[in-house]
Amino acid sequence: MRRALVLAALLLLPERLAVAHTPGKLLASTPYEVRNPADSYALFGVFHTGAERFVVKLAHATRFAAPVEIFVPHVDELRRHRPAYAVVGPGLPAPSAAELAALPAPLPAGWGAEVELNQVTPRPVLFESIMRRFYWTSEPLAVVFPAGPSEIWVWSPAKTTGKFGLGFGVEEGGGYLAALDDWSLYAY
Amino acid sequence: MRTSAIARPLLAVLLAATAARADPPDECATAPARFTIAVPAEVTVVGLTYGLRPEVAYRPGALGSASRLRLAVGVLDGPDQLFVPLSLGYRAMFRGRQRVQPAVGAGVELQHRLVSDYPAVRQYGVYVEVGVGIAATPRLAFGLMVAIDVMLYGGPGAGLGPRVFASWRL
Repeated sequence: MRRALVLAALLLLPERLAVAHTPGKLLASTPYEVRNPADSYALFGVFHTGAERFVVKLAHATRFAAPVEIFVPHVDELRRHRPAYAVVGPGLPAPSAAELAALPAPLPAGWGAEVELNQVTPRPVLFESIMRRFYWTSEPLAVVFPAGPSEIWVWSPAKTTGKFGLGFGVEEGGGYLAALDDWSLYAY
Repeated sequence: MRTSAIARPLLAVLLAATAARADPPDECATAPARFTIAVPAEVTVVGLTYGLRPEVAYRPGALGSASRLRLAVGVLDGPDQLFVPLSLGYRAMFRGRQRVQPAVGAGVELQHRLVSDYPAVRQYGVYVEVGVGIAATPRLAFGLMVAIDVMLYGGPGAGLGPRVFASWRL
């Protein structure tokens, strides 16, 4: 019933307001394969143990600049939950020694990394108007993805647990209805 | 827990309707009042919050007119925000002399969303509503409404708010 009501609300939304990020669910057990790397994605996952590493795989035809951002629901129990991410791949800059040490896995030979450890204080806040939720965010970081394969790794440096979201890409579309497949993950 | 919070008001509406059937009001099911106050309990489905959205409705026309002007201010709390909507609109209440009174309405809405470490978010938009009231006595009614809002400024988005209410004709 609730899903039907939400669907009705979304269908009534004027078309010009109905563009949004493509939602997706991240699992630690399976890399997320990005089909259209120019699109804007909002992928959600949950750290159950704090030891997980989530992997997103992309392949760009040419070098491609896009913002990348990680965010956490703005709820008290996640106040100390600060997942980190790294964009890794051939042609990216070599990380510093500290960044290299912070990575959750060794870099493959010849790969570089853009590392965001999400340590800004006070934590920036984001209001997302489609789902009407507040998040703590790392703030968008512009990354130039290399031509060819690359990956985004997400991990929890302090081994904290809880929900998180990873946003990246540029072009918004109408794929938001996929959020209905797992409404509680995206909405609550 | 959430199911129970929704189910209990629904049960109250059903009980009220049953009670009214057993002891029907006279031919004028509702008192000839200019003002009606209502206390709806609401859950917002997009951006989870729950709370009360008290409202006052004014009948500008003659007795029997379906038209109402509605003003409502809500205070709804959620896991990540405090939601304070302010609504002004028109509502048509049909079959005012009958026990079951359908209603539809539309209007404008200003929504405030508050968290502790960020400036208040203000969004402006419109809403539509549809529902039904059940007269329990000439002055007291219970009912259900569902409202859909579309915010146009301050961040686009659509929301949905089912609510149950008790209303009193002054």
